[in-house]
Amino acid sequence: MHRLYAYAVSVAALLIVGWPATRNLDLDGFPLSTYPMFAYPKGRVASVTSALAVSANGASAPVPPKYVANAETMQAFRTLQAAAAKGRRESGELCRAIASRLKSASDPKLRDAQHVRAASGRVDAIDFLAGRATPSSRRLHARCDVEQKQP
Amino acid sequence: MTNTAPLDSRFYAPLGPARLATLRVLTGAFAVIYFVVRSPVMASFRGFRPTQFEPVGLARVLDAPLPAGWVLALYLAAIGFGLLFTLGAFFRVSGPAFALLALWVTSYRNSWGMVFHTDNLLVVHLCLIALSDAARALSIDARGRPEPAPDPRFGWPVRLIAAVTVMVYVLAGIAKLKASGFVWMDGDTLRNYIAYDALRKQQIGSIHSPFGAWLVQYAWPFPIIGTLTMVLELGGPLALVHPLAARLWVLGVYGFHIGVLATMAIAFPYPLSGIAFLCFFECEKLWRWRGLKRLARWLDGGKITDADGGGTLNRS
Repeated sequence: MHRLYAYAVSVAALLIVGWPATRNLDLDGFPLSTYPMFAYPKGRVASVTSALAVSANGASAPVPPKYVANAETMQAFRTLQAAAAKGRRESGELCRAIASRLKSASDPKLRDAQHVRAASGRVDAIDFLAGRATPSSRRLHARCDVEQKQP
Repeated sequence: MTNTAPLDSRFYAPLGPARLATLRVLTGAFAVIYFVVRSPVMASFRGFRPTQFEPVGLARVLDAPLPAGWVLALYLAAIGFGLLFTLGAFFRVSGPAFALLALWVTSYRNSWGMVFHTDNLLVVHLCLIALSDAARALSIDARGRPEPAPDPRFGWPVRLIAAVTVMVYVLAGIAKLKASGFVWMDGDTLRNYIAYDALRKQQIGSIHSPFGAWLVQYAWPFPIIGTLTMVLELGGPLALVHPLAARLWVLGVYGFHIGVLATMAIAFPYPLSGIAFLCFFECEKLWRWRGLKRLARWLDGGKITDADGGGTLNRS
């Protein structure tokens, strides 16, 4: 009887875990995954979405992940990307949420920011890392003010 | 002899209870520690707006996010049952309960628009251990009971865990073949992904890998790395054929994860801990180490007594 159980569980487990191989790669899930990360062809030029905290003198600093979503970099990145894809309203809501969180930041560059900008830009990633290029044609998704704490 | 005898001799062969029990203890302990260390991203989702909720896995039963109190309660229940799972206490209940709760916690964590791929193997392993007789040694349940003799019921789950581990890497290889074909091995795609990863992390003010940013300035390493990656992923089944092939494969895959960490600052904690690959080895011998022997003796209620491991461990 146990032999039957062993083979039934084993066949079921292998079929279930292997089943995503029969699916479209884009239909990723959890815990059964098609493992599409790093699978698709990727060019050197990439679009990247980020949030910047901009101070009164125009200096800007990237907003770290924990003010965008949570401590997970990939989650924050996906949150920015998804909001940009959904349009200005969604980006605006995210921008305001980020701005309200910056008020409690310990880093003065973030805490004292006057506004937040969510934008995308395209750049040759390898050239960027070598210092030969900067993101061009930045597309603004949202801009919102950071309300300063009253003294 | 039946015509299934060759399969039985490989897959359903008897094994002592210690190896499966060792996998239960170490996988369970890893999961509990991992959940505790990652509590800021597993127990609270206050940073997200409800519109971001895209349920996956078990969380698909939900139409909207759970109240924060429920999220925390289920997370704490997972920790509690995880401890019982690890100690092998009330395992018939705590085993499946922890597997389900771990699946719940990780499903909910993955339900905010980003499917991570770091928890999949851990959850699958926990489910398989929960479905097996993994608490007949090194457990509170086994205290005061006679030591079981080697039996197929302790062997097949270990071999199944190994097969599923291999399958996950094969799936990653198949994905590359489906999306890019063998041209993926020329390394350009991999090089561009590493560069893109460093770029976006810089742009979001996060930790990126300076090594990866430096390495992508050179094209020549990437055909080698790309080819090795594909060979390891698609060649995984060879690890099930011979112990030496298994050792070489585990070494290669572990090196692959070190490489991912070094070039992209992306950690796959479960494989990097090494525990994901213990099923390929006589991992029960770990308990012979002085520090661990005391723990094993406590778990087993004193059955492990002699100098070189003894008792259950010598029967494995």
